[in-house]
Amino acid sequence: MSAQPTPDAIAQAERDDQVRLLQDSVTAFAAGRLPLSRARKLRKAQPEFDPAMFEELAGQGWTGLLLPEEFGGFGLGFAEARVVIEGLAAQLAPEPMVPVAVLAAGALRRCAQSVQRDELLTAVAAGTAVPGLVWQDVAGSLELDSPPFTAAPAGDGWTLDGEARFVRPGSGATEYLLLASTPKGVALFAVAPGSSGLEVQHEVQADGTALARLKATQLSVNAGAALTLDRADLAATLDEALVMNAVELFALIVRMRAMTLDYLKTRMQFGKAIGSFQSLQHRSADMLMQEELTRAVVGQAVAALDADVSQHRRTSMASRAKARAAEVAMSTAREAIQMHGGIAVTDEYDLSLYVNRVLSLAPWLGNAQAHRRRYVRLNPPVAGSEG
Amino acid sequence: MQKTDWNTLTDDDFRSQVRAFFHANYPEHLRYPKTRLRWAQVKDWYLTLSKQGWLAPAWPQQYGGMGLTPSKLVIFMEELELHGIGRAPDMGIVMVGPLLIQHGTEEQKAYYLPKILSGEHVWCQGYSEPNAGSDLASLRTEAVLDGDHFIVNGQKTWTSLAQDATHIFMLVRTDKQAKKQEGISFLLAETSTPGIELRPIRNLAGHEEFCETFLRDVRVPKENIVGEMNRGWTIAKALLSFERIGIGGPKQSQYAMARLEELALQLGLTEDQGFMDTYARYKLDVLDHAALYERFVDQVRRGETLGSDVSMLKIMGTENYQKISQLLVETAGSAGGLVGDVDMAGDSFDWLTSYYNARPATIYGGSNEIQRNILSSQVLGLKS
Repeated sequence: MSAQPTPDAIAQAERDDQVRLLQDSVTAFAAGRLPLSRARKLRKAQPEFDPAMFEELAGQGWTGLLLPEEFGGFGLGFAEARVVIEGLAAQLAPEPMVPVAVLAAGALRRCAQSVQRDELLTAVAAGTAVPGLVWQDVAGSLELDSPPFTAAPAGDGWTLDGEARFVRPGSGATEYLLLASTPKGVALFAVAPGSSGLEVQHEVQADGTALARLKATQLSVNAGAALTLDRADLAATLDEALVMNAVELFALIVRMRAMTLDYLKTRMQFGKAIGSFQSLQHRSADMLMQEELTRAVVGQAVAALDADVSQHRRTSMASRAKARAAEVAMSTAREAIQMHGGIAVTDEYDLSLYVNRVLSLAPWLGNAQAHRRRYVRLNPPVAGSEG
Repeated sequence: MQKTDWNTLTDDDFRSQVRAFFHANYPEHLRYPKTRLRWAQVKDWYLTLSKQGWLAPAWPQQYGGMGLTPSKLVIFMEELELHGIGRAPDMGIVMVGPLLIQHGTEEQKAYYLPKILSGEHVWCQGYSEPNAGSDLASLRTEAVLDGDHFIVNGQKTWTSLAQDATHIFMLVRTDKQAKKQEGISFLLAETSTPGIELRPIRNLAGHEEFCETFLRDVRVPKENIVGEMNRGWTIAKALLSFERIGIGGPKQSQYAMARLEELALQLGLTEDQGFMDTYARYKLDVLDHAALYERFVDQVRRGETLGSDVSMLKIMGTENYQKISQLLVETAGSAGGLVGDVDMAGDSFDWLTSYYNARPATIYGGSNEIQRNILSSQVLGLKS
């Protein structure tokens, strides 16, 4: 009765298999190398992650997963990247995969070809470079039309002025990529953290990692450091970072809800498991629904990144995914704490690590409200749409 | 109409044929109906579908259905919704037919199925009772065997459109000694049988869409039992889970959302950040629910059986519908309590119909509280 599988269906089935294999190796790696005790220890570390582990992740092929083979990458898609990012996020690994392998490398690979760009991309795939993209103004705007820095031609090179905020990695970046307007458009300028004329502050987040705040005053850079790119390419990169950020939040949601469900089944009060009480059962059902809602929209957003869809659709899906994941991560954290009771507000209990991670990842690149507003700006109400 | 195997068409061809037929034949004035359509309004359309052989898309072809594969069935349903086609009294098609095909005798199938397809029999559902709502298994309408008839006594309620029905399918108690789920049987009766009395119930909106059904010494032929004696509960439960994806769709909240958008534009609220923040929240709730719905529909397309987790669709869809319809009323401001088509800045809007329609949605088909019980016990494994 059913027709022969189409070539598309066969290709999809093969890809699904590949994703499953990757999933298995991520799970095995996370179980062996990324215990929660490690994340707990690294909370007060400087830098905020372990550079040796970042190289180890590169050795697995994961920092270059999305990069073309010419840079030592694998040229895979977001269905694969999602699996890696979700697995690492679930174990609270502080290594900056989304900021570096998705956001910074994504912007870099869309820049006009240059020696410096190629070297940097190769080093990201090798795990030896950890660049941070510096693109948001101090107000945290998501708009791309007014870069935080201005680059003025000066002799052979450039002079940069301006101020930016909310940069990840907050510490441990090997270089910063400053987004600046130039007389001809926009460009990224690769700058070493200790450069004179560059002031770097570290604003500490709830989970112990930092966001860097950068101020450039008459910062001179040489001509070769300017990597030109289109705003549209930057927008496409931001979509990818948003969706992968939503994937991280989703991983946290899944873990917090699983911890809570276990607790409900084992914690005894009034002589029975507290999960036998209907008020908690119904709230658990609500948590489950919110998790599944997030899974559905994040899944669609990841698929949109891998598909040939319009930029408008990509950006709309990215905002929907981030809005949902951030909202549900915050509400799941709240419910997880309440249903655990007092133990949940201790540092010693691991739920605290997840809650603090949510508080750090949900606001980054715009929180739920910011993305709901952005979605509606992109898709204003129109009359006569039958839903 | 000769027999066609619709499943041999490509999805695109099938979709365009279905769409063309709906466009050409469905009465324009019945598109996007505000309330449940009565038999008198919708009978001609029912018979049009019947002539076309499209009345029972899910039934096997041997019983006069289209025998659609799950993926073709999804297309058929999508096109019904896209064209705003109202729900006809369809209990015979979606409940009695599938029930008889699975559990009926050959005689029952041969007698009832053609009469459902011809429109000669119109069915209503007799499940709920005044004291058996969410706890349906505690129903007390009793059927006692007396020779070759059952004598039925009791009362059913919320019998939707019983006024239009020629037949009723009921759950009745046939063994008072057994555990409550185990003494229930499935029984068919003509509504014209002496002793059956219907009293329409006026609802919150002032309409008469459902009835109370009184049964006093009603004699029902013994052969009208479906399946084995005292096995009715199992049969009914299977039908209810079949119902759950249907009532978990996003269509109603999408429709209410479209009305909200029109009203907001009319009132110039797109510059009102307070309104827009709530609107954005609900808009994404509707879109994301549709994404989740799509995941379950994919499961249906692949021919997989849906698990208990499908309950979440109904909860979310109906709760979105309620929130949006309430926001519609609030957006209307001082005019919020006005009934029917109301003038707002030169255009006419009706918000109370959405408001009223959304109220029972969280109650029927298994209340949302019951659905949450199902999720917590069967999906999460929480025991009471």
